[in-house]
Amino acid sequence: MNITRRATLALPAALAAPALHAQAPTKMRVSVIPVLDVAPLHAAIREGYFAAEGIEIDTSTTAGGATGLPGLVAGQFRVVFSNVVSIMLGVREGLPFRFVSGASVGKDSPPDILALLVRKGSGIATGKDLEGKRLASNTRNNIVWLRGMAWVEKTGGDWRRVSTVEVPFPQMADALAGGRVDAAIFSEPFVAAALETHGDRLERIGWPISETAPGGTNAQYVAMAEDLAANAELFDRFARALHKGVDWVNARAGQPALLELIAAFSRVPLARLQRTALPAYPKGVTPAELDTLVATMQRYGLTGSYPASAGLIHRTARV
Amino acid sequence: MLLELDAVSKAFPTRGGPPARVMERVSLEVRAGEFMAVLGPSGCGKSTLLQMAAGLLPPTEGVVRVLGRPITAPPPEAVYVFQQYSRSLLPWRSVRDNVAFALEHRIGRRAARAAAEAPLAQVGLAGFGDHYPWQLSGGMQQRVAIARALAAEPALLLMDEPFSAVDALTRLDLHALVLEICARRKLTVLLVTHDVEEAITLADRIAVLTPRPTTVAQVIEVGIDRPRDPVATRELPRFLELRHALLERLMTRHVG
Amino acid sequence: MRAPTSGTWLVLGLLALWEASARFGWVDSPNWPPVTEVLRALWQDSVTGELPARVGGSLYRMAAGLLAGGAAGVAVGLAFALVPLTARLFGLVVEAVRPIPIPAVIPPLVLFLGLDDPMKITVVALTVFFPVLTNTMQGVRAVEAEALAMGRTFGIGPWRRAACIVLPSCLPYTLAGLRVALGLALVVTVVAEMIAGEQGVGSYLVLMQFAGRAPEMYATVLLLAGLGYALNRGFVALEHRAIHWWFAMGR
Repeated sequence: MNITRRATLALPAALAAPALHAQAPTKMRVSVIPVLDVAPLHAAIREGYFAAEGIEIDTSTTAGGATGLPGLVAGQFRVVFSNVVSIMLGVREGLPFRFVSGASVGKDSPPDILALLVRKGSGIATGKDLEGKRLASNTRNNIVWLRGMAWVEKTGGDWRRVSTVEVPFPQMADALAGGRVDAAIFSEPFVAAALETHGDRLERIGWPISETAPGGTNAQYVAMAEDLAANAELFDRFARALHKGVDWVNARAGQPALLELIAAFSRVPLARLQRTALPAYPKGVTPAELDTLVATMQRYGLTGSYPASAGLIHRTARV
Repeated sequence: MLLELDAVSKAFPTRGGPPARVMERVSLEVRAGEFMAVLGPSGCGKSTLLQMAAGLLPPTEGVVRVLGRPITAPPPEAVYVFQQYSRSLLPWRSVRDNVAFALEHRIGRRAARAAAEAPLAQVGLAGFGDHYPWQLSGGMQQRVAIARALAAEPALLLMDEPFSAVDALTRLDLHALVLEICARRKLTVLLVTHDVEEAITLADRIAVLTPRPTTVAQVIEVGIDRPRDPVATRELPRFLELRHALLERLMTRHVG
Repeated sequence: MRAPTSGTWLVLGLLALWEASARFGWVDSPNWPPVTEVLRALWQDSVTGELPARVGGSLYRMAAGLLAGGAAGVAVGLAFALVPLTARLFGLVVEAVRPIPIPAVIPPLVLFLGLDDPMKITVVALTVFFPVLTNTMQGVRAVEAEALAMGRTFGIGPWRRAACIVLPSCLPYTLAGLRVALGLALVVTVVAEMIAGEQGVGSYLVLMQFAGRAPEMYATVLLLAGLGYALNRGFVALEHRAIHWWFAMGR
């Protein structure tokens, strides 16, 4: 109900938008998580790409993204950044999420944005060793967990015999070093942080993305299908600005300017960012990457019937 | 007739059983300018009688009239002075503001404060206006309550054992105060008490009640001239005669 | 001012223990920084104006919630106690809502009120409402019957009796409820700010947690502890002024 009200309110504004750019920017609230993946969004905000399209972005940081997708359904956000597994689980339940843009994918070769760490001297080196052991993931049934399960299987283990413990990223290093878990799947920049502070006790034994699905999909921006249909032009402008931000970020890969941008919005110390692996920042989402992902999800117990991938990708993400 | 209780009965509901009748057809007449004491043993329903007279409690049967008018709510002519002065005074208000409380809703706060000074002086509390009730002794607190009652300039003062919670000497002081006030103002007073000497010292007539269910056993003329002195009055033969008769009556009632 | 009490020494001792445990590696974790580093972070983000602005925003939301929830608690408490019909009509609803933990009501509140101040202030107001309601009702029950009868015999109407006798005499109870609510309100404000949005101390806490900046996180914790203490002291001082008679009577 809230969504349709918003949509009808936004519709006239969107139609009149080209003439109104200068005086009345359209406000869009975007749910984000303060992680490396959203660098292009912040670049586009800082560089004025959204302003140039007549859009004012209001980011709302949510811890762990738990309120992001429900907030999208409730009409609190126009666009939500989320990991692909959570998005597809929503789609499986019939929620009309559509991909507006890609956000991050893994790189083809290490270093990954995900890493599997254990205590030094624990003797754990493969998924086989992890059977019967406790593996920490920030959430069950998200992309981090899925890549972790794939790695366990890839390295000879039975993922069903590994018990997953939910531990928030900020507490993972302590939980692992303190022996509360036997292994943990870290996401950057927590990998760099853990090795920086607990390097004497922790070691990396795996790269869950590049070892199981090189370049595998990770996270996207989604919006509601009705909103996209009613305000297609607005989302065209949104994606144009965001993709300029992607260009800005990609043009500065490995340069201090990018790290300074990330340090500014994430507050991660610059020195740590210099040791942090970054994802690749794509503009689009392909049916192939979603199909591959769904197949992986089915394999690790997230079964069910998923709609055809192609229909989930809005025109702004078909690039 | 200023106040009239006409065949008033009161019954209170009890849990499960039939209603408890505490008062049976009590009739009482208080004339204008008269001081009447209602004397009875503890627990005979004296307070109930006074609350019905004040319009605070509806009678089960019978009628209460003030100046011939049947009442169902507190009549504007009457003011009540409570036994528990510490509970009827408002602790967040100064002495002056407590007295002013009787008038504020009629004449406004500023005028009420000004009007509070005279009754305070009359009860001997000039200069205590800025104190709080809880800073004063029990006797002084009851003086504040009396000053507050006087501030409303009532025709009828209903007093519910007002001196029972203070010590004997303070009680004599307050008796002197009440006698003086009644001499100065043409007040009609209905006083409820279990203190025989207090009743004789203060009243023109004394209504003696029976134990429950309460009725009026007898109305006695005191017949002691005014002005009275609370100490000297107690030595008069008439006082001693009445005291003897009343105590005898109340005590035999107890035994019998 | 008083000389440092044994309580002050205990706090200082615990802070010293904290410093030593981090400095000498008794607790070896990036999430356990020495207290001096925490204080440095507190200082740094204070002089940039970021923390004061966030604290100001949080205090505003807390104050708005306290005011709304407190006023509602007093109004409903008075109504329940003075007009039995309202208690019969709404008492069950209130009793049914009361035991629901605040985190459980957040999703519907987000649905109906969004993620901005209205939702956060409502969460705080709900937290404040119940202790104030309960205490106000208890306060009304404690109003002296004699005081009310006194008002009636002076011909004072029901509204004025409520305003001049009932309200002041249950104020000590209401304020006690409000004092309990004050402590909860600060906590709940921060929790609500952690859900979403970019404002307030709660959002700062989330940001610093994700950035792995433990000194800033603990700086916030220290700040909240200090703030909670100061708020309580301030409230008690205010309470002593407002109901000096209550304390003077030794209640």
